Amino acid sequence: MRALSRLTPLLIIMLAASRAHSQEPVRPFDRVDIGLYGAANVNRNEFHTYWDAGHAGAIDFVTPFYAGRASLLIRVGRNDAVAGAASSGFTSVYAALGWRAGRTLVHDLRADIGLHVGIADFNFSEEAESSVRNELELGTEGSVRADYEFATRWHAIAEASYQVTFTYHRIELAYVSLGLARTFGAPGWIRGVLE
Amino acid sequence: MTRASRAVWIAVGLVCTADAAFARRVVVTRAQLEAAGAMRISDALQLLDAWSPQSNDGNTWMPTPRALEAPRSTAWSVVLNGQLLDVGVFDATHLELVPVAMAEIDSIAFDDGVERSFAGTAWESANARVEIYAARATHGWAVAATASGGNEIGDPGPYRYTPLATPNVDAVGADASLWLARGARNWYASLSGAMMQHPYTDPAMRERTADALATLRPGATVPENSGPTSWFYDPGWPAVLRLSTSARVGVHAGGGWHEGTLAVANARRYFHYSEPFGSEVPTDQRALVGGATGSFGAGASTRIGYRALASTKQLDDQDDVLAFDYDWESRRVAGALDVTHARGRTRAIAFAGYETRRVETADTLSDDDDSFVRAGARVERALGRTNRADVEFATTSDGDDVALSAAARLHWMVRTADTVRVRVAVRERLFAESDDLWLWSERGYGLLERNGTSYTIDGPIDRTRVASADVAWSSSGILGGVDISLGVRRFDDAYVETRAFSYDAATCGFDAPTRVVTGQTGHVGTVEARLYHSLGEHSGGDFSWGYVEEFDSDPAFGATWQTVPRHRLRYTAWARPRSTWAFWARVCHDSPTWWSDYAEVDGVMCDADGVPVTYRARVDGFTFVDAMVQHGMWRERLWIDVAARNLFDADVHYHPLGASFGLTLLVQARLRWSD
Repeated sequence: MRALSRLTPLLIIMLAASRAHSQEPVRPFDRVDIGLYGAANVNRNEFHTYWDAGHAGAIDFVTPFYAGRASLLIRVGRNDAVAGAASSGFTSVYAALGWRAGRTLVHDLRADIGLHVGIADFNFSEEAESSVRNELELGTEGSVRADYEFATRWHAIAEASYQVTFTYHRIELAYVSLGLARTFGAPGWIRGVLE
Repeated sequence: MTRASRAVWIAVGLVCTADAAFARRVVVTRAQLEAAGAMRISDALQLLDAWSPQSNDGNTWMPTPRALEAPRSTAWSVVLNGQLLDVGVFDATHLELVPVAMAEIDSIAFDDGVERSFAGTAWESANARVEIYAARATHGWAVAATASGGNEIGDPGPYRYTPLATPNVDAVGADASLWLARGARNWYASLSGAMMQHPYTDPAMRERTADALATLRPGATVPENSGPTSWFYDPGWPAVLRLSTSARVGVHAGGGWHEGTLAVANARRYFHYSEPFGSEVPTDQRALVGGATGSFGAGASTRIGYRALASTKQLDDQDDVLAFDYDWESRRVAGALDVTHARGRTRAIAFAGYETRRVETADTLSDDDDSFVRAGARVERALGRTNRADVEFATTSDGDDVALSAAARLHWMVRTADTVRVRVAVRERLFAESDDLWLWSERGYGLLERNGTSYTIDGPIDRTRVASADVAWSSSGILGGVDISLGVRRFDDAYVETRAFSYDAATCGFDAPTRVVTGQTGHVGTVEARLYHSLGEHSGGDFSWGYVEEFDSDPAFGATWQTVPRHRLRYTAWARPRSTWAFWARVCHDSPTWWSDYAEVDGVMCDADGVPVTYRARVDGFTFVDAMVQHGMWRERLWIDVAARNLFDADVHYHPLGASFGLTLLVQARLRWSD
C-alpha cells in the first residue's frame, strides 16, 4: 500500500507527459527499441542484512503505444547470501510489462518516466525443498530515464529505478542502469498481434 | 469498434457492473462475463451487489439475495440448463462444483423473483436461484478454451532462508476449461472439461486446514500422492482440486429445443468454514447429474414444457484416512411439467412437479427419504400497451406438511422514461426442503456427535415464511439513468444458530455448542440505488448503493443480520478505446459487520507459523480497488486479461476468521473459434 501510494504521483506525471508526447505522429507498434543494460543496486535496507545485491543485467523492448510507449522489461541479478545471515543466495529474474511517457528536452535528448508491473522469480541456490526452489511474487517498478540518440537509431540510456517486490517482508531495491538501445522497424506480424 | 461490440459494451455497463436495482432477474451474458474478466462462476456472483456475497476463503461465496433469505443461507438454488444441481455441503453451497466449463457458459441468470420461472418453481421452494446456461453450438465446429491463474502477494520470497521466514502464499489457480461442439440448424452436440485449483492462502486458514489434513483416523497413514493428477496436485496440501466434464445434445423439433445433459464434477479436499465446527472441514465432494428438458407447441396458443433429472451427491473422504468424514450420499429423481396458454392480453401458466430424495449413510436415520409434490398457477395480464400485472400461487407438500407461496406484481410505465414496479410476495419453505445439518441430525445423522460437537434445537420446525414487498422506480435519459428500490421483508418461524465460541490456540480454531433458536420473527428493510452514466462514446460509469437494516426482530434473529454489511457502495468505470483494448476498474466499499458468536473471543491471536493473526468479532469496513486491462488478438479470437484485485492491498475480510484478500495479480487467456 505504502509503496503503491508512492507511485501515484509518478502515474499522474506520466499521464501528463503522455499527453504531451501524444502529439508526435507515431503509429502504435510500428517500431521497437531493444536495449541492453548493466545495473547496480544503490540503496541499503533490511534486505542487505541478508544478501549482497550484485550487479544485474537487463534487456527491454519499448514500442510506441496509443498513448506513451509500451515496454517489456527483463532484469536478471545475482544476490549472494551474507554469511551467517541467510542460508541461501538466489538469482532473481524480474519480467514486467510497463508504460513509458516522456518528451524531448533538447535536440536528441529525451526524458522518460516509466511504470512496470510484473513477476519476480527467485531461483534459490540451496535446494532444501525442491518444491520451493523457485518462487514467484508480484513486483512493480517506477523509473526515470534519459535517452540520448547519439547516432541514427542508436541510443545511450541512463536510468534510475525503484523496484518493490510484494513479499511478506517487502523487498525494495533501487538501481542505476546504463545501456545502449537500437531502434528497429517492427515486423508486421507483431503489429498484427498487438494492435 | 463495430456497432454490435459497442452495444455489448454498453450493456456491460447497464447490467453487468451492478445489477439493475429492482430487476428480479438479472441475466449476465457471456460477453458481459468476459468484459468483466470473470474467471470463475463466483466472479459473476460478485457482480451482483444486491446479493451481498461474502466469502471466508475466496472460493466459496455465500450470498444473501436481496435480503430475501437468512444471511449466507443455503436456501438458494443452482440450476444448470434447467437441471437443479445438488452442490451443497449442508451449510455451504459450493458454486464452483457446478459441472460446467467457463468456456461454454452462454449466460448466468440471477433470479430472486422465482415466481417468474414456471417449471423452475416446481423444483424447489427457494427465494433465489442461480441459473447457468451452457451455449448451444451454432452451425459447424466451435472450440472455446480458458486458462487462468494468479498470485496473491505475501510470499516469504528469499526470506524463507532467514529468521524472518513466513508461510508460503500459493498461487491462485491454475484454472482451465475446454469446450468442443458441433451443431447444425436443428441439432447440436458438445463436450466440455474443466479444472480448478484453489489453495487456501491465508496464514490462519492454512494453519487450520493443515491441522485438519493431519488429523487421521486410527491406523491410517498419509496416502501417497499418485495418480494422473499427482504432477500438479497433492491431496496432502490444503487446496481444493475440482475436475468436471459434461456432455450435451440438443434437437430442435415440435417448435422447441429438447436437450439432454450428463455431467459429473469432483472436488478433492474441498474445505469450507463450518460454524458448528468452528473451523474448516474437508470433504471430497462429487456431483453427477443427468436429465432432459424441453418444450413443444400444442396448438397455436399453447406450449408444454418438461424437465426430468436424476442426480447423485457424495460427501466423503476418498482416501479413507481423515478423521473427518461426512460419509454421505443423496440421490434425487425429479420431474416437472408446465403448460402455457395465451389468449388476447392474458397468458396463463400451470405447473406441477414431483421430487424424491433418498439418503445413504452409515448412521441409522429415522427417515432417509422425502418426496415433494409441487403445483401452481400464474396469470399474466397486459394493461394497455406498456403496462402489465401478474399473480401467482404455488404449493409444496411432503405428504405431512404443506407450504404455500403467492406473489403479485405490477409494472407501470408512468412516462416513456419512467417506470414504477410494485411486488408483494409470500413464500413458505418446508423444513424438509432445507436439507441442512439440523434436519438430518434430528433424524439421526451423527456427524456432529462423532466430532464432539454438541447442539440443541429449542423447538419444532415445520416451515419458515418470508413475506416481502418492494416498490421501485427507474428513470433513464440520454446520458444515463437512475434506479431506486425500497423493500421490506418479514420473516416468520425462522431458525437461527447461536454460539458463544471459545478459542483453541493449538489449532487456531474455535469450539462451542450450537443452539438452534426456532420460532424467530423479524423484519428487514432494504434500499437500493443505482446511477449509471456514459463517459464519452466508448466508456461509462456505474454507481450503486445498497442498504440493509434489520428492525423490530427477535434478539437472535436481529443479531444474525448484524453480520451483513449495512452499506455497500460500488463505482465501476470502463473504457474500450479500441475494439482490441479494454480497461475496467471499480472501487468497492462494505461497512463493518458484527459477529456476536465471536464476542467472547474478540482479540485472541493465532500464531500462524510465525505470522500473528488476530481474530475480531467486529469485522472492520473496507474499501478496495480492482483494475483490469484486456487485449484481443488474432481477429479478437484470443484475449488476454490482466487483472489486479485489491490494487492497494487494503485489509479486506468478510468474517472474523476469514481470509484476508490481499493484492492479487491474475492473468487469463480466452480462446474462441468457430468455422
